[in-house]
Amino acid sequence: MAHTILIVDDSPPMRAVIRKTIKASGYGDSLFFEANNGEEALSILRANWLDLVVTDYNMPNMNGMELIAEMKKDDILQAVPVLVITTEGSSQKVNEFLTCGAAGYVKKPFTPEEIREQIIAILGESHDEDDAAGSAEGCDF
Amino acid sequence: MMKMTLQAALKDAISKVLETMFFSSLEFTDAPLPEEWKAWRRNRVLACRLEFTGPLGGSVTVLVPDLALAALAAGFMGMETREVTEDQLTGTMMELTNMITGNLFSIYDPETVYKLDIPRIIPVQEDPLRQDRAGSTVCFLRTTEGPMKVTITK
Repeated sequence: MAHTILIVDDSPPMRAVIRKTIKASGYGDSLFFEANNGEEALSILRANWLDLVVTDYNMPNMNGMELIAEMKKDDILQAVPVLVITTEGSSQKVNEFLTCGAAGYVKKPFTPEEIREQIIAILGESHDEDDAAGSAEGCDF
Repeated sequence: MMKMTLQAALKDAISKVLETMFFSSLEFTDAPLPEEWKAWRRNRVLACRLEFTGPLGGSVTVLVPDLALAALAAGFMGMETREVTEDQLTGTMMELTNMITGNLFSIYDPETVYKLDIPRIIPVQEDPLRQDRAGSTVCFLRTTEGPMKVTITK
């Protein structure tokens, strides 16, 4: 089943890397949206039905935590799972992400396997077998 | 457990970021090697700075000659070096600085939250190989793609 996934990061190269990693993890037929920060992400979320939001934390205008907080206030958006991918690695910060409602957390730098494990835990196993097979030993960016 | 020195944590963070996300291998050197002077002197050098606050306040500055950075960006994004655009070059530089700084503090002091600013490209006005301010923590390294310098200034 194709999924709709929103990638939120103020770094275009990082968005491209995350998209390629997710595609290579067996979700190659997903439809991807991209946003530079939390504000842009909310606009996209209010106009489209999404299965997953993958967000950075440290972004201008609205950071990843503020984005999750805004989503939790919304009756519809609160159901959309959020995976946080960030360089923030303190145990206190990780707890904050999970307490405020993140469905998962991956620390940068990440391996393709770490992303794949988290996405499967949230969305379930993909049936895109060809793509998934390529990710077993790391993905070819 | 004894706390790591800032320099040891910085070396760990740099290695982790470059090896995991840029598929690069590297070695640290005490100073730029003679054969690297050409790369530093004749190429455009890009610099990116990220300021941080917390129990320690200061900034991390990363300097990379443009040809080395283009090769790193290509490895990061999975493309050919000649295809890398200027925006991708600066975007990669900012993300590299962000990841090194974030990892530095999660290795050096994992129980404490440091507030990281947004990385910004800064002009290289002075000789990148000049002596740094006393008290700075400096790492010179040689990667597969070329040389790099990372400085923590408090």
